[in-house]
Amino acid sequence: MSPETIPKLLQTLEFTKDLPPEQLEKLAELAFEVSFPEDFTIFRETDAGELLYLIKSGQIALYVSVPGKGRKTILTLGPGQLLGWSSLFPSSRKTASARTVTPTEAIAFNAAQLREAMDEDKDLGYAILWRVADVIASRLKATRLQLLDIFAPGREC
Amino acid sequence: MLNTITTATGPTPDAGPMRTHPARIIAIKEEAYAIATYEIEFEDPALKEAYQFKAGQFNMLYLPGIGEAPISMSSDPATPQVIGHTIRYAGNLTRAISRLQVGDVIGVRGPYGSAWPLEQIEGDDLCIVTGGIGLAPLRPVIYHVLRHRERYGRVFLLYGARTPDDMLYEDEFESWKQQGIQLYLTVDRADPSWRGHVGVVPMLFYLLRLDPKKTTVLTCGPEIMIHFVIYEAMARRIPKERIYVSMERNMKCGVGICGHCQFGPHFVCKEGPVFPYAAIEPFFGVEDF
Repeated sequence: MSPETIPKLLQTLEFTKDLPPEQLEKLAELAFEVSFPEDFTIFRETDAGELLYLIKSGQIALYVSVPGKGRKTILTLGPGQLLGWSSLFPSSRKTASARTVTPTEAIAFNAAQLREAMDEDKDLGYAILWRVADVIASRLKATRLQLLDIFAPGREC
Repeated sequence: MLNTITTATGPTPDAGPMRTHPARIIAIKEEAYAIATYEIEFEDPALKEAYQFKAGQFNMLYLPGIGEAPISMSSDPATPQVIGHTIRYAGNLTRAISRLQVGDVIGVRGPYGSAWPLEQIEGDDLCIVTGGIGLAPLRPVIYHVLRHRERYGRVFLLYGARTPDDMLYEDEFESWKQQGIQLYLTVDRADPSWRGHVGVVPMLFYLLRLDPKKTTVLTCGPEIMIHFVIYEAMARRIPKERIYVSMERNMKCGVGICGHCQFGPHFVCKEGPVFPYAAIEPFFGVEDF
């Protein structure tokens, strides 16, 4: 992918599509393309996060390793979605591992560089944090529903 | 208008609304753990010939000495001589049904309740969102749409199950896809051998590019799931008048007399189970209601 196409791609991805052109341009300067083959581990639980990604194509499984029970997939992510949001917070460690289910292409950002850009341009920082908060809220909501185990057999007639 | 309620077609012909008719089990198909589809046909040839139902309606199934339960039809409304009911064994009646075999007879009265508004929504894109055994009352919709594919736009089916082993009608998925249904499956929990999506079914909305002006959402499943489906649909600017839900309540009589299934001013057995969301919004999600 040539650098010229990254701004156009960012215009189409759900996470970034509504950002103004100048912010998209700044993000595009920081972004680089990555691709992963099938069944590739992108990061592991407890890793320090250095990168975060916007998925362009493919599918990624987030899983946790449960002692005695093996790997349990908790969520899959696909095109347009944000992977590795915790990297944005410098002291955090990954709480799940990420593995590709299918060959995957993504736009990657160095988290430290992105944080620096967000500090320098508060409007950009606000816009990114707002979107990250939305992602976290959405995943929290989904996790609550998952915890309820709503399809478990219940008492019926 | 989309927000009218499609009313019941009424009970079986030549009978009082509470009269049960014998029907024989002609096939039983295991669908998943503790879930099976029973195909039945009426013993009375005239009744078998006259019986019709609409997608979304239910019958009351009866076993003498045990009781009755409302069970949605899960088969093709275009072939009503053979009626399919997909049943989860979870209570006294359904566990007793699980002990029946092909050739046994059960009592049936119906059809009851409102139907999915399939004629009103012709020309629309359909977004069918369901989970668990909630797919059963929507399978007649899929059969109808496939039979009249030209009458509908894009058709998305988002289906969630607890685990991959809990999916219903898996052997039909490929055929549905080949006939133009865009099928997205997800499970709440899986081991790494599952190659599909993991996460609750409302989360799959992100995969779709919906046109809110021409998309109708049909949803059935646990009520808490329906809440999240409505949230995701409305977040995509789909008007509430274009969202239809199938409600589950404690239905007893099936004809709006006993009041067991009252939901605000509505009787779910008679005015429902399929409601336009706009009609029930004030009562939806009210605690203990």
